[in-house]
Formats: sequence, structure tokens, C-alpha cells
Amino acid sequence: MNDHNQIASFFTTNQELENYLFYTKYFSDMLSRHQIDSGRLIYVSPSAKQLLHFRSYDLYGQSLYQFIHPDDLTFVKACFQEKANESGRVTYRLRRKEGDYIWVESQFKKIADTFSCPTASGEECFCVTRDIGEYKTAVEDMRLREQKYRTLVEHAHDTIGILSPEGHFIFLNESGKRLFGITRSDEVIGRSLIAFMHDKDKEKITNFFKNSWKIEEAVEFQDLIIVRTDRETRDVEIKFIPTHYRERRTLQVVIRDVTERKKTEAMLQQTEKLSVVGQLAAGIAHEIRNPLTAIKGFTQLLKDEINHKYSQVILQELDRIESIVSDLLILAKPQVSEIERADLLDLLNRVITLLNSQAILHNILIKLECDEEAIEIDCEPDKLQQVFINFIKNSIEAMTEDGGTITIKVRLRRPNAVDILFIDEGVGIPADRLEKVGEPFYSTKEKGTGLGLMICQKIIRSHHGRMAIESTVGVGTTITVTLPLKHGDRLENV
Amino acid sequence: MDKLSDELLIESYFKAKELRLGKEFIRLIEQEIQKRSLTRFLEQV
Repeated sequence: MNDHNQIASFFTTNQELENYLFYTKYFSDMLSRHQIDSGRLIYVSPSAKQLLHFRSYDLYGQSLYQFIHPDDLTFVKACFQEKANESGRVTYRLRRKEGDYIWVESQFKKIADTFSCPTASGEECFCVTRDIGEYKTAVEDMRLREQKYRTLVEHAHDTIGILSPEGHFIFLNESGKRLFGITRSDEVIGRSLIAFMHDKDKEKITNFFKNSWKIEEAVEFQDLIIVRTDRETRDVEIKFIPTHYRERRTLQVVIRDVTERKKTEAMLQQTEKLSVVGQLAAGIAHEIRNPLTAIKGFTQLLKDEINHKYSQVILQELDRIESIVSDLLILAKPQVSEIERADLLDLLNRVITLLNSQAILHNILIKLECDEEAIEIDCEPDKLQQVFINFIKNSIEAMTEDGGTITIKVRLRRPNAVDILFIDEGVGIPADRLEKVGEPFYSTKEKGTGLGLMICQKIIRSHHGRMAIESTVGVGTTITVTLPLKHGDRLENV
Repeated sequence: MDKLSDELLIESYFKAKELRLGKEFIRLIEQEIQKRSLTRFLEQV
């Protein structure tokens, strides 16, 4: 019985030994023992051949530390030598026989007072080392990919952010900072998107966030307005995409700034309107002109015949209709351009002379300011004069109550354009009306046809110039006309 | 205009000329006179 037991234990021990042998021989994990102080290797399993391409007997007696990458050596040593670490894991690079380094992870256990070397100075360390090159590459890949996506998000033209389901910002990219008018993202992190919405949209977005936890697909909102920190507004489209961020259910938000697009659309619409009006004007003007001439002529005859007291009124009204029709005709007429070289200052002076008597009547002084002696410009002089007359007349009408000064400033603008500023001290135009100025039949004046500025615009455009109106109620209006000096030159975008 | 009798048309023409009314108006009457082949009345004077 006793013998039997001994035999059984003998086999068990042998089998166990055999198991260890297989493990050291056939598995890719390298088993090793070294002295912690010197790094001297006491044992290296045969799998060193697979891992480091060294035969194990090449490594006996050598220091493990000399195979560790210089950058990693300090912390690996520290890790082994730290008294508190009885065991642990450490990741570092090991040199192979060919001189290249591979990423490995060692699991170690410190052993004191062993049989084989009871006199060993200091402790020994038992290590199981495995190749983690692939894992490391994968991690590196992931890091690069993340960096790539991060760059993509940070530099995206649209605003990209991550929101909590309640609408609080967790993350915001660069474009977002620009959109909201902030410099650091922590100015917005933790704040609610709703705080940036225009009052008219607040309810819509609040309602959305109430139900945001159950949305499955992206939700898009259009025609929203965002109020920046500087109180400016932006037209935007917002898309919410349900997503997960650090194990939390979140919403990815993409905000597209469509302010510019909206502006362009509005401008296109305006252009469209103008061209329709132009066509309409041509038609109407043609149809109306002949009957109008007849009515006017016969009314004049009638007046002569019976000296009717009403005919004066009729004739006055007819004159007004005639002026509208001729305005319309100017708009509709195909452009017959007779470009001449003329002196701009001369043109302005003639206009001033023409309007001076009317101005003086209203206690208004018209002043021309220019540093140049003469400014030669390619233009249709009559047309330009018409524009100037129009502007100055408008200014006079705006100043009839208190009088004042109309200043005309002419400045050369490099390389080959000129700015003409008409500055008055009149009543000004309220902002809401300013938007509509230049639209056909829109007039701020009781007797205006609403075509004057439109004609001016058309003439200036046909000279490849541009005009801008600035106005402050109670202070005055400034009209800036910029014209190229040479015909055919386009204005650069300054 | 076409409701006007021939005599009245011619009369209007001369009156308009006399009062130096708008060129356009005179041209309009002239057109109507030509349409009715009444040009000989104009030459009489």
C-alpha cells in the first residue's frame, strides 16, 4: 500500500515535471529568472529562440538589462527594484539578436531564498515574457485613427459637438467656438445648447431634448437661429445624431452655418425680382406711353378750348404718370452705352450748380471735398449725372426741416477706382426700411415713385461699380459709390 | 383716337402745332392722319 503510494507520487511528480518541460519548450512565452540587482540571467527557457532569436545558453550569465531599450530601462529597473512590488506586469522593448526591438510584456514574481542559490545576493525575479508587438501595433493604429478622426472633427467646416441627452455640451470643435463666438471650449462645456438658441426656437429645441432619450435616428432641424455670445445671430441647420460617448448615451450635434447661403439666396431672389420688374416695366411702358401722350395732348387742347379749371389737376397728374413711365423705360431700355472720358469733378460741380438754388432755399450747403485737381473717368456722363442728381435730391429732401450740410467726398482708391461719398445730415432711414431701399416701388417719400434708387443702382452696375448705403436715424445718411476709372475694369473685392 | 372725326383730327393737329404741344403727341396725330389717308389736308396749308 505504502509502495503503491510512493510509485503513484513518483509518476505524478514525473508527469508534472514533464508538463513543465513541455511548457518551457513548446510555448512561445519565455520563462526566465534573473537577479534583480545585476540583471544577471540565471535561467532562460528555450522559447527565447522564438521570442528573441537567441539560444538560451547564449543568454545565461548575461544581464537582462542590456537587452532592454535604453528609453525603457530606468522604469523597468525601478519596477523590479521597488520593494512594494512582490509581483506585477511591465511592458517594455527588448532587443532581439538582429538588433531590432520588440514590444514585450513581462509578468514577474520576486523570489527570495531559493534552493538552487541560497547564497544569492539580493532577490531574484521569475519572469514570463510574451511578445505584444501585434497588440501594441493595434493600439498604436487605434491611436492614429483616433487622431485622424479628431483632426477631421476639429477642422471640419461645420460645427461638431457632443451633447448630453439634456442638451449640455460635452465637447465642441474649433468651428463651434467660432460659431458661438468664444475662444475656449470650457466657456461652453456644461452649458446648454438651448441657451444659444433664439427665443423663437427655444421651445422647439427644449421639446426635442425632452424626448431625445428615445430617438433612434438622426433628427434634423432647419431655419434655426443661434444667438452668439456677442448677440450677433446666425442662421443654422442643426442635426442631432444619437451616439455613445464614454459609455454614455449622448447626442452628436452637427450645426451648419447657412447665414451666407441665406444671404446669397436672398440676393438671387432680389435679382430675379428686378429682372421680372424690368420685363414688366418694358411691357407696361410701351402699352401706356401712346394713350398717355394722347390723353395729355388732348387735355392740353381742352384746356385751351374751354379753359377748364380741372384740366390743370389732370395735367399735373399726367406729368407724374409720365415721369414714372419714363423712369420705367430707362430701366427697361437695353443699354446703349456711349462711353466717354469725362472729368468726374466737373460732372459733380455741374450737378451742384444745378441743385444749389433748391438747396439754398432749404438752408442747405452743398460742399465738394477732393484733393485732386481732376479725375478722369470712363463713363456715360448723362447717366452718372442723373445718379448724382438723384442722390443729392434725396439728401435735400431729407434735410428740408433743419437744413445743414451735404458733403460730397471724392477719394481715389488704388489701384484704379474712385469712391464718391454723399454725406447728409438728414433724418436718416430706419434699419428695417434700409433693407428695402432699392426695391422697385418702395419709397420712403410721399411723392416718390420708388424707382429712383433702382435706376441709380442699374446705372452704377452698368458702370461696373457698386453702391452702399449707411444710415442712422436722426444723424444722416451716407451713400458710397465706388466706380472703376477705366471702362471694363472690375472692382477688386476690397 | 379713332373715334375722332376726320375734321376734328385735322383741327387738333393744327392746334397742337400752334400751341407747340409735345412732339410725341403731334407724331401720334400724324400717324392717325396717315392711317386715314388724310395727308392731303396737311399739304394744303
